[in-house]
This record gives sequence, C-alpha cells and structure tokens, in this order.
Amino acid sequence: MCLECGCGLPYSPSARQRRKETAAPAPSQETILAVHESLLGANDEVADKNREKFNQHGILAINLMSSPGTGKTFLLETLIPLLPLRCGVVVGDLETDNDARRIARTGAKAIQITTGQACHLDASMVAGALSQFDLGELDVLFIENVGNLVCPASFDLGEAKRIALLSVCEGDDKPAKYPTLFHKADLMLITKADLLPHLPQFSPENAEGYLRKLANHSPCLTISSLQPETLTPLIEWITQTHAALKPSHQWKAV
Amino acid sequence: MHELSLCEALISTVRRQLATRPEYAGRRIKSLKVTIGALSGCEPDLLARMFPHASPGTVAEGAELIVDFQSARVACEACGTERDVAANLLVCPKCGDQGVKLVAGDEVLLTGLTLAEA
Ligand SMILES: Nc1nc2c(ncn2[C@@H]2O[C@H](COP(=O)(O)OP(=O)(O)OP(=O)(O)O)[C@@H](O)[C@H]2O)c(=O)[nH]1
Ligand SMILES: [Mg+2]
Ligand SMILES: [Zn+2]
Ligand SMILES: [Zn+2]
Repeated sequence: MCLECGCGLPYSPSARQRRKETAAPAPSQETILAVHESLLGANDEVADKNREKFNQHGILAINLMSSPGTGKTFLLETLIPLLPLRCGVVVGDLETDNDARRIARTGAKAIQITTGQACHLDASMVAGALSQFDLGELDVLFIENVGNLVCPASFDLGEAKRIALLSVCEGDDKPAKYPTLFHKADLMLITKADLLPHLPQFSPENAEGYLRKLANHSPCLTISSLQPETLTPLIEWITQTHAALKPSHQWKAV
Repeated sequence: MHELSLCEALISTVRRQLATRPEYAGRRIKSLKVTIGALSGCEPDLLARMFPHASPGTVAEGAELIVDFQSARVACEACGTERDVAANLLVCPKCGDQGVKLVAGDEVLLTGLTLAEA
C-alpha cells in the first residue's frame, strides 16, 4: 500500500527511490512511466491555502451549489439579516453583477466574480476575491457558485461545508441525476417550499430518499425564502456549525 | 464544460512529471494514460475529443490519450463488502447500509506516460 495517498499504487517513497536509482533504459526502446497525479492538484493546492486562511480567522466558509434559479441569491438576501453572525459573500456568475448588488443591500459585503466562459468557480478565483475582504471582520463567508449542477462539484474552493440546493420546481430526482454534486453535500436544502401546493408531483421525502441512496446522511431541510420562519432550522445549523468550526470537508487525498 | 481546462491541466501535469525526470529529456510522448472516475464530474468522451485540440504546440503534441473509466467503488464499514456500484446508488450493495467509504470513482488522474524510442 502506498504510504503517500493510500491508493495502493507502486508510488511509495521506496518505489520512487528505486526509480531514481535505475538508470534510464537504452534510448532505443519505448519507456513506460507509471505516474499517479491528480489533474486537479493545482486547484487543490490553492484550495488548501484558502482553507488555511479561513481556519486562521475562524471563518466558516460555505459553498452553495445548485442549478440556475434555484434561489441561492434570494436565500442569502433573506437569511443574512436573520443571522447573528458577520457575513460576507462571494458570488460567481457568467455575466452581470446583479447578484452582488442584491446581496449588498443586506449590508453584507459581496464580491462578484464574473467568470465569463467558466461554468464554475475555482479556488484561485476565490483566493482573488478574498484579498478584497477584511477577514478579521467575518464569521461566515458564503460562496454562491455558478448555477450549474455539474462542474462546481469537482472544484474544491477551500470551503468547510457544501450546501446543495434543489427547488421544488426542478423534480425530486435531481440527486439521482447529479450524484457528483449531491453525494458530497453537507446539507441539502429543498427551496421554494411555498410553491409545494402547486406542485403535488414533487415529494420532499422522495428527494431525501435519493440523497440517502448516495450514502449521504447529511441533514435535509425544506425552506422558503418568502417564509422567513422556515429558515429557523437553517439558522441553527449555521450557528452551530460556526460554533463547532471543525472544518470537516475532508477531500480525498490523491 | 471544463474538459478543455482539464486538458490544459493534464498537459501541465505531464510537463511537471517530465521535469522531475531529466534522464528522459527530449523524448517524444507516444501516449498518456488517465483515469476518470464516474463521480469526477469529467466526461471521458469529451476529454478524449478535446485533447487533440489542446495538445498541438505542447509537450504532448501527437500523443495518444488513453482514458480508463473507473466506476464508483464503495467499501462497507458494516459488512466489509467492497464492490463497484452505480454512481447514484452508493449504499452497500450487499447489506444496504449507508456507512460506506468511497474508495474509487471520484478521481481525475494521470496514471502513465509512454515515451517513444529516442
Ligand atoms: N416563490 C418563491 N420564489 C423564489 C424563492 N426563492 C427564489 N425565488 C425566485 O426564483 C428566482 C431565482 O432566484 P435567485 O435567488 O436569483 O436564484 P439563483 O439560484 O441565485 O440563480 P442564479 O444565480 O442565476 O443561479 C427569483 O425570481 C426569485 O425571486 C422562494 O423561496 N419562493
Ligand atoms: Mg444567484
Ligand atoms: Zn465546467
Ligand atoms: Zn454492507
């Protein structure tokens, strides 16, 4: 078993030593080199630096991910004034700074990252935005990812927690269709619950059932940003998580 | 879709790997091997299709990209079963327990390089 990453590949320090000792083979033959390196390694290094910064300042960083229009920005607009914590927001969109301007009305500092063609935030985009915050003034940093259920899931931003959102307008089988995003979520939010009376075909129980099939035991909350009282359990989850602040989003070492 | 940026990441990973092995300097790369997991968020076919557009003018110019697909694989903490499973059914395939560890399937790895004869 490889000691560096647990991958079981012949890439342990001793194997590497052996490789160094053997001279290059006669140049007349083909050479096959065994390697074991993640293509996301460069992103993960920056993510680790972000994570270190969050830890140093006692900031709970939360990555919000969903399809476009699930209600990420509206949730932040409603939630932030109710939270007894100092909040900042980094928000990614392909175009416009509309979301940052909406959030800024809550009084929280919001930095917009306009990604252009990129369909997700990556760790260095977040690192760039961080330099615009006074981190000593923050308890929670929300990172609203680009609306997209595929790409954001692959990029560690350095967050401690990931929230996956799913609106009742989208169909309750989203976790089964997009397992990459949902299986690593630390919390699933079913949004726009005020519309449930019009959407009898959406079952919050089914949505949660699909999440459980991904072997994910994270909590699942049903909320509506138009009904602030439904946000109480979410507020508790955030305040308790901030109080505990043991960054638990363990990315598999590769 | 970020398969093009993954191709670029692949090429810089190759460059980094070769830089640690000066004894092979100047050898042409014949093929590259990558492993793409079912839960990696990367589409193997797209990656393979993008690669010929990303490689010209780089160390990987002319190299063949070989993509190995890796299914999601879980190990059950309750009953010890370790098996490949569907990406959206990650509970233990034997006892149904949710206490499983994902042992493979979320990786995007460079696993091998074949250098042409000099
Ligand atoms: N009825 C109802 N509408 C909501 C709710 N939350 C959001 N909306 C509406 O849904 C639309 C999209 O909401 P946003 O908050 O902009 O969604 P988003 O996830 O930030 O969208 P992107 O940033 O484009 O990915 C807006 O018109 C919101 O007013 C809710 O709880 N109930
Ligand atoms: Mg938004
Ligand atoms: Zn992408
Ligand atoms: Zn089992």
